[in-house]
Amino acid sequence: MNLISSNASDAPARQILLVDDDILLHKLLEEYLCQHDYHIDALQCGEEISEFLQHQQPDFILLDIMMPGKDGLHWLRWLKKYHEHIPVMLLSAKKSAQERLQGLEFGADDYLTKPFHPKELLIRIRNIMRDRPLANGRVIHKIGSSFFDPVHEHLERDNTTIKLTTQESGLLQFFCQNPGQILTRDAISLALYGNDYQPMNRSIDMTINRLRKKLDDNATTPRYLCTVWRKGYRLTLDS
Amino acid sequence: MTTATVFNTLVAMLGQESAQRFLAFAQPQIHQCKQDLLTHLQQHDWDSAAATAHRFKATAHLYSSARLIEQLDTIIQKPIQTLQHPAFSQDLVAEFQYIERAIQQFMANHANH
Repeated sequence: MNLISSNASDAPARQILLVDDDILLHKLLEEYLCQHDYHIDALQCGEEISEFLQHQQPDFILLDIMMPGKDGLHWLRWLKKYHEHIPVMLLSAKKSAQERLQGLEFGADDYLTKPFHPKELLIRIRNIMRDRPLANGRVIHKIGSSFFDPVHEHLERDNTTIKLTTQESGLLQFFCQNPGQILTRDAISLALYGNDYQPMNRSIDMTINRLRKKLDDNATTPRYLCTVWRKGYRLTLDS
Repeated sequence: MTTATVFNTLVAMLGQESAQRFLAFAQPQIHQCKQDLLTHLQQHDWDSAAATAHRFKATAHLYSSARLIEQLDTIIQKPIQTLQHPAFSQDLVAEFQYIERAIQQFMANHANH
């Protein structure tokens, strides 16, 4: 069984739709989020959302409240009626609690006041999308403070990419496909190499040890990649 | 603050190349924003001036100009007597010009590298 997708690098980035009439903010977020594996599409008013969604399915929508035409709260209600599954974060320069409460009441997943640091936006987006299937069916797994995208074979912590070898990535993908389950060395060997486990071959244990380090897991008392005595290993994902 | 440090926040946020791309894109937008604000203030169109200032404020902090943010806040709050005073527009132009010069210098410095 080959766990490594041959076209993983061709997989599309996570899609975000920004609806805001501030084109400087478009450019800023495009530059910043692009560095973190997001693709941004931008619209300058809510009236363009309907047509956009007929052709594309973003994973996330950032929606400004004050825009030309109908305001963001109107479009939030519309989105929650017709595209309920897409998470929406409201953006606003106003700090009024009333507006924020109204937005959350209408179903916004979060609310961010401008000006904001793009890193704060990124953290909030990740928190909302944690383990949520993306528009293309993909899932980002949160393992402790690390995030693993199995399609892109991308591991990241504190906005830093952690390089994985092909073997480490394949093993982590296999664990993420079977969270909480005990995986025997036989099952891991079969999945990774297509053959039975050879007791003298320590490569699985060594790969596990390297993965623990890369996941910032404790080697002696691991919290995420746990050893199950005489059986194998188990990955515990954050709920 | 020297022009070398004006964009420290932006460079820390985006990295050098991305910051350059952003500033190259922002240059004409900032110029247009200045023109729009001055036109609205001259025409005593306080609401349009406030809307322009409101939109620009979301990214104005990237130019490390606390003075500009204060001026934008004043325009948003619309204290008409202050906005009508010729000194207000003069100060606003000076602040925009400072930022525009800083961008030009930043771009020139990094074009040579």
